[in-house]
Formats: sequence, C-alpha cells, structure tokens
Amino acid sequence: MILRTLYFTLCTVVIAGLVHIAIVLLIPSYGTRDAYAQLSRDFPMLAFKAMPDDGSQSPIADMDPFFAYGVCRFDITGEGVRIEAPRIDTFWSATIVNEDGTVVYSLNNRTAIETRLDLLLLSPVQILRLREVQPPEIENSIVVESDMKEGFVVLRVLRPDDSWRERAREHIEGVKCTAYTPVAAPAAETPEVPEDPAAPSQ
Amino acid sequence: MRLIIPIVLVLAAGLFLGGATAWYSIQHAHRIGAINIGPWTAFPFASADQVDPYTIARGVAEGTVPLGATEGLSFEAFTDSQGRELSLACEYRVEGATPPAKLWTLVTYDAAGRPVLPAPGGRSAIYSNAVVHFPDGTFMVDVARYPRPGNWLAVSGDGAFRMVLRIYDTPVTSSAGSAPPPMPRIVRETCAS
Repeated sequence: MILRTLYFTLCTVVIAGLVHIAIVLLIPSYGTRDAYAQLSRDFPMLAFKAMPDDGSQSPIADMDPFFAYGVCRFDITGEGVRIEAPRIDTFWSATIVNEDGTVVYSLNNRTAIETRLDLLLLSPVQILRLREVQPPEIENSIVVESDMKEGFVVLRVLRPDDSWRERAREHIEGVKCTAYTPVAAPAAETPEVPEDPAAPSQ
Repeated sequence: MRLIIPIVLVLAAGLFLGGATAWYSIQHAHRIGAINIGPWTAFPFASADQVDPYTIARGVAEGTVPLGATEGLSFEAFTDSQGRELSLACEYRVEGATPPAKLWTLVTYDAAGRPVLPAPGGRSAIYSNAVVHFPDGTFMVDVARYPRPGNWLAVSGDGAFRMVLRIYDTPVTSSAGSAPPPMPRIVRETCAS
C-alpha cells in the first residue's frame, strides 16, 4: 500500500513538472494578452500609427506618461522594412520587438546617425542582396539583420509637458514605415542605346 | 476499474500543481535575472538575446514591452524601503539619487496597472528636469494627496500602488552587475486612518 501511494505521488510530481514546463514555454506562442496580440487587432501592417494617449485602452501596458508612442507592425519574411523619421530635438528612443515580446534591437537619439531615426531591418537573405547591390539611398541608415518574422517597432518621443504634446504627435505622424527591397541603382556606365525605330532600315 | 479513481486523482493533482507552480513562478519572475536595490527591482536582461522563459512569459502575460538596453532601464517598487506594501492611504518621501542617466521619470500606477489619478492641481508622475535637485545632485520628492512645497507627486484614490522609476539613456544597462547603482529610498510618512 505504501509503495502504491509512493508510486502515485511520483506520477503526480512528474505530471506536474511536465505541465509546468509546457505552460511556461507555450505562453509566448499562445498568449493572447501580449503586446503583439493586442497590437494586431488595431494596427495594420506597415502603417506607422500613434498610440492612444489616455492609457486606458492602450495595447501596451505600463506606458510612460511623459512619452508619446508610435508603433508600426511588420513582417520581414518577404521584404525588409525601413523606418524613417524626421529630425526632432527632443529625446527619443526606438525598439524593435519580435512577436514573442523579445527586444531585437534598440537605439536612441544619441546612438542614431545624425540624431535621426533611419532604420533598415532585413532578413539574412536580404542582407546578402543588399551587399550585392549597395544602394546609395541607405548610406545613412542603420542596417539591422534579424531572422525574426513578424514584429513591431515602438518609437518613444519625450514630451516633458503639454506644450510638447502637439510637436510629439506631429513628429510621430511624420514617420514612414515602408517595405524595402534592395534594388540596384540604374547603371550609368553602360547605357543601352535602344534602336531608333524611326531610323530607316537597310 | 479500481485503478480509474487513482489515475483521475493523479492527473487532476498533476495538472493543478503544474499550473499553480507555473503561475507562481511567472508572477514571481522577479527573482530570476533581476537586480534588486532596496525596494527597487529591474530586469536588465529582459531585453537581452537570451531571456529566461519565465521573464518572457511574464512580459507576455502582462502585455508590457521592455525598454531596450540602449533606451534605458525601468525599476519597479511595490514596497517602501522597510518592506511595507505601498498604499495610497499613506504619504511617502522618495529621496536620494538615481543612477547616471540623461533623464528619468517617476510614475505611479494603481493595482489595475493604470496611472494613479492625480490629485487636483498636480500630476501623478514626475520628470527629472522638472525636479528641483540639491546642490549635491540628490533630490527629494513628496508623494502626497495635498500640495507640498518642493517636488510634489500628486496622488489620489486608495488601495495599493507601485512606483516605476525609468532611467533613459544610461550606462547602467551595459555595466549591470559590476556595482549596484544608487537608487532613491522610499520613506513612509503619515498614514490616514
């Protein structure tokens, strides 16, 4: 009888252990309250949108009231994504987060090139393509390589008081979030001369 | 047939225990990979490449987005410096210094996770450049319902609350673990009733 009880207790502990591990590891894939799941509801792909200010129905918990937030959702499996913002004097910071809620990359106005947000997020395959063609328009971009699929970027802009509210909002509305594929610049050295259709044929 | 009852019991107990311990560990993920300075807790590695599964699960369950290492670090406090739970029925004095940073904000949140409703004429959050500092760089902020001379963080309502001190653009995130950075003390003063 004692042996039997011991055996059942052991079984209980093993099952409890398995359930524990399964729950902890499966929460990131099946959780529905996480920031990405909440964002997916109201934020379309590749559109930079300001986050509601009042905080009550914000998709991200624990927002800092001294910051204006903007978010863009993206998927870089096919094409990369480029996030470009105009220049602003106040402190700002940006984070790229994957769908599990893990930070992939972050920067602030001091670490950005010319204190301007210009970020290019590419998959390893697209990075190879980028090295091949070296497009000139991304000279001042920060290029980030990641093997993530879906995710989002959060931009936080400091607005110390209400007089900054409007400026911060305008700034966030000016941010562009677009799909990006490296394309070679039109080769200038060997222009193909098309045959003149008007020339008389001989 | 005799065996069915123990099997059902074992399964039920296993599911319950597994679920309960998982829930508990996620809620108390504080203790894994966190730095604790007095009443303050931060997760400097919540934004690193290798985050432990408990911290990830906690972020998912709470719907938070961690600050990236280059952005800053956020410290949470649920208790005062003596370990008593923070309550809106009491007044507090937050005094001392913060880790070196370009700027910081101190925000109060209620139990439901919303910013605490400010008392009339004030704000339930404070920003470093609006804080009057002593000549030696330390500061003192009063968390109270009624206006105070000096730095006043205006709160109202009742129940438990927490304070979140976010330091932005700080070297602490790249040197975490070397020496504990300075954090302000939370001193409880008078309590109503």
